[in-house]
Amino acid sequence: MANINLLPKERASNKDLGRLYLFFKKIAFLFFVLFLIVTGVGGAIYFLFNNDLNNTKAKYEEASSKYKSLQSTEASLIFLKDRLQKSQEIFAGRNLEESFDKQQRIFFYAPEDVGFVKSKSDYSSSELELEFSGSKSMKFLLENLAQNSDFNRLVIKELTFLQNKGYNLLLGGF
Amino acid sequence: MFKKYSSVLIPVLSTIFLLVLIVFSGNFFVGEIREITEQKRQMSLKLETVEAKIATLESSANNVKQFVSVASYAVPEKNPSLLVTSQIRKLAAVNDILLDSFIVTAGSQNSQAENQQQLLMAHQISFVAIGAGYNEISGFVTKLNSLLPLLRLDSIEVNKANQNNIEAKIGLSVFSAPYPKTLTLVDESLGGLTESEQGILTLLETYNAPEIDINPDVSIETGPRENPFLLSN
Repeated sequence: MANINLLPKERASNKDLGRLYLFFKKIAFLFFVLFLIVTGVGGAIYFLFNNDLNNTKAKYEEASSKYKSLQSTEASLIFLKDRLQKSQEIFAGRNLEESFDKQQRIFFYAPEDVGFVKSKSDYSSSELELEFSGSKSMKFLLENLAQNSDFNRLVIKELTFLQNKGYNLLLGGF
Repeated sequence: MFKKYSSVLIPVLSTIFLLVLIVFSGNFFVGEIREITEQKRQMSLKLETVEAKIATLESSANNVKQFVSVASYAVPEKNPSLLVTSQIRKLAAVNDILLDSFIVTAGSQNSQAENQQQLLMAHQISFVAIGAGYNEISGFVTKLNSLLPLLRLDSIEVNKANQNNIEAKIGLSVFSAPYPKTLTLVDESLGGLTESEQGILTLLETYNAPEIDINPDVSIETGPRENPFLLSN
């Protein structure tokens, strides 16, 4: 059967436009809903985050005022740390004390008849001169020192023998 | 033509308008939320620092103040040569050592130093100590190390003065440094005493401190001091 359209041509195009009108109306509605969702969700998140930020700010202000009440303790702590750091610097520079201490320890390993002659310590050198009545005493000391790990390096700078006095030993490198 | 499409034009324009609105509002909220998140992150970091600092200060409040005097004896603000001389004299008297030829040389502050607060100034003291034997002299020199204010042995020359006495020419350095004047910023971190600092403090406590009081005022002045010379009516 033949499809006969008896309506005028203008009416047919009006029907298409009507469909287009409905389509865009639906899209516009959909976008409107989407806009509401975006602004609603965005606004809610903004509100929550802003609230959280304000809470953190309030906590910070509270902590800051509490911190201010502890400033005298902070002044003491900073003072203490400063003096301790400077004390540490002084301790670090105490090198001569160690070499003088080593000189003293020599006497722990020396025989009883050893005699002190002189000693000198400064930043350039450290020396100790001892006197022995006989070679046995000197040998005893040197053997003891050789076996001891406290003295990794010692230099015999001078060894003198005098008939009436005995041996003089000048040690260095403490 | 325009008349024909005029009925469709309103929903099309509304759609475009709403689309633009969605994009703009979305963009606006994303930007704002991002900014707030960043602010929150920074504020949280500051809060964390201040809270850690408060915890440090609260935990050290009890023991810090009691150590202030021993630390101020260790490295005083001003030249401690006279104080050290008096300490050495006391030590010598206890150990039967005679002292002679004291020379005190004050160190000069280097004005070119970058940070005067950090500067440790050295002042020199030299003297002659006379004792009965090497053990007496060496014992005395060793004990010098445990005196406050702290000192450092720079040179020592020990000789036999005569048959009965040993003489030591001793050169020492004593130190002074200006007190720190500034506190940290509120959100600047500050740690408590480290283990090594605690160790030094324990060591200093065993040292022989002078009997005079040089306890520094480390509190912060909040207002002008009263003039003590004004007569009250």
